[in-house]
Amino acid sequence: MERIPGYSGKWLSGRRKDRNAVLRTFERDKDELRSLGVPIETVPAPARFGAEDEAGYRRTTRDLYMPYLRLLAGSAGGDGDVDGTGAGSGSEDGAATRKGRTSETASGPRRWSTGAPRVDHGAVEIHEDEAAAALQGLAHVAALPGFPLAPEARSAFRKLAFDLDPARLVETSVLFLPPPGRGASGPTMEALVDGLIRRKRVAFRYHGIRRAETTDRSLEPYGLFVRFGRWYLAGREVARADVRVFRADRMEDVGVNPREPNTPDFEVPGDFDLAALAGRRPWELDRGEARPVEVRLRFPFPASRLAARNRLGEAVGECADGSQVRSLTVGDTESLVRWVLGLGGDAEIVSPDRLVRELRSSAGKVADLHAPAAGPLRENDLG
Amino acid sequence: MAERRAKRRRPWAQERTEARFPARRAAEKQAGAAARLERIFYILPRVFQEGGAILSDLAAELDVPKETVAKDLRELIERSYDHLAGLGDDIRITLEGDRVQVFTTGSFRRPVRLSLREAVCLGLGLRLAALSPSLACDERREALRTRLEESLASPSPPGSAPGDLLRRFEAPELEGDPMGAREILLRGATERKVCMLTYLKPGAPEPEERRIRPYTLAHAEGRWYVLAHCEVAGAVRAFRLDRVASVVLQDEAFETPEDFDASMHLGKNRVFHARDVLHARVRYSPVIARWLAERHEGQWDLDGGFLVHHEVADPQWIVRHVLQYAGEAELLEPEELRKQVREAASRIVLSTGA
Repeated sequence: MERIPGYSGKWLSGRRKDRNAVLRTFERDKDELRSLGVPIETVPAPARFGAEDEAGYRRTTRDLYMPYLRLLAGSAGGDGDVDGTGAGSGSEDGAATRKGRTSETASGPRRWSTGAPRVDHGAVEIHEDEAAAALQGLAHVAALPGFPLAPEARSAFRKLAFDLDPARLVETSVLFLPPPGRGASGPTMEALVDGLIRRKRVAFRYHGIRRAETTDRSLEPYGLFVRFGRWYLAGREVARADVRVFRADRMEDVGVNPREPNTPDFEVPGDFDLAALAGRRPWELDRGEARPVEVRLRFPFPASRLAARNRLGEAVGECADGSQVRSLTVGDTESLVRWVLGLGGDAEIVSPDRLVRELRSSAGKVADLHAPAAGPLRENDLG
Repeated sequence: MAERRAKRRRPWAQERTEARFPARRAAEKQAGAAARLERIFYILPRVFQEGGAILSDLAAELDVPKETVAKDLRELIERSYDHLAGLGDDIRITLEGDRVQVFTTGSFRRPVRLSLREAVCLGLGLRLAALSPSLACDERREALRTRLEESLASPSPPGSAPGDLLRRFEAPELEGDPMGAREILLRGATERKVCMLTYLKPGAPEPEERRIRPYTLAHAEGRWYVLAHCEVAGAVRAFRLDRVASVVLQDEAFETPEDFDASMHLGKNRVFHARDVLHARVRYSPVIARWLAERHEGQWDLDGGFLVHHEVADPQWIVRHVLQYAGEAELLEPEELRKQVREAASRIVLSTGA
């Protein structure tokens, strides 16, 4: 510790309090390096002239640095070697081409050599279509509005771009627009991701839109997903012991449990299925109905073609006029009725009768609300 | 009593707050140091590889001010003369004006391996590779993800591998493409090939065939769109992908006009081209006003309702928008659109057998 600037001052004071502070800083620094991708191994190291072992740390060069990415033309299963070097050793002379340069110049002409042995970083072969997918995928991830790991996506892109030429491989034809209104703040998303990755409980103030009240919540975060452009956190609410979903842009004052930072607070249950949760349509949420209800909708032609294409429920019958009846399992019938209304006649509810009446009643309310404004009696109003 | 109740409601938050402020300051300091270290891990091999670099280029690549990069390098240069712990390899950094050069016998000739978070991003990006024309097959993408994670990522402890953490993120609208329309249109946009579209406009009696030149795809509020030149319209139009009944890639190529500007067809948050814009005023009742106030700019009225002025390119859109609120939204003007809402609602009433 006495040899490292930043530690040596306090360490050399000899005071226990100062040395404990240095040790805590050292532990944080070690964790930080690991989080940046620097692998630090804990190994026994001889101390007191070999009389005993104490904890030592090391990192191996091969585990620290990225291997070379060697680009092969075409797709996997084809043949081809873009850079023509044929080298596979992974030494610097075998580097994949970048921006059309040959391997001889890729290392740069101004290398200062003391004759020290070169390091073998290893090499990984990657086909052109795989490289394009990797770079393009990272570019898309970095462009997602509100995505909390966008900086990491960009830095991963830069690392891959050391050996792969993005100008040749990436051609983005996708735009992502942020949702309207205020999105979740950067610190909110960073705290949620931190809690998610380290499996630490998060606490926050939540503005519930249904009851229009703000309450304190504590959650074991199981997953983050994006729907309709907005980020949602799913997890087990500590006070209620059931899995809930919260919208990130309605959270404030998010904190991660600071106790025992290197020890997870919980395990994610093996049967937790984030994909299923995230993929539910609004009427599939468990809200309002004691048990899910089977609802049948009739889609007239040509809307029936879209309903089939978009896999809305299961088809149960097709009519000669091209219309189709489809069955949906619904947890929130109010949401479903409003959705059908919003289709403007592209679907109608066949059963249950209760929902047919609700649809009629709701549509009637809209018609009444939009009745012509009363005004001077006009000739056309008379029978 | 009220104070005791408040404490009971927020026990964890209370101690969290007390613990957090000191931790936050340390965390912010740490984040600054970590960000600097990350930049240095990038700059050293990058500059070495290129035989030198200009500060402004590095700053642009890192998306930070030039002064930040200069400060990072100056601090590193100062420390390189102070090797109390000793370095295994020599590194020499020179900064002359705007140009930096790095000489190294071994260390930092390559970028460091992907961190856990970077590897998670790579995995997520490959899951979104359905957005890329190459690698359409799920199995191939997963095999590639596994191979790259094993070879490029820093070793991680069991249970905390990038693949494990990838399951904690989902983007269903971005990954799913059950009928493959998005993949085909993306190929059309990337390879600049004409596509034949079968498209159902809202309220249209039957789908229409359209020959389009897809320029770009856009994702807004959970929906996918393609911005394309439509030969029928003779202009650029936006097509919603969930209204595409079928799409076929043609062999015919096209060139994207140099003056094509996607922003002309995009509002701040939605796909929208203000060609012939209608203006509609809608009042949302107090029951639903707060949801709308989250999304739209508007005015509160004295009764707790929320008034929004909408710009409307398609009358069908505003009619359906108002319908879905089941009487909690009223289209105030123009009268012509009010009539359309009334008629659409009346048709629904009749269709229910009233």
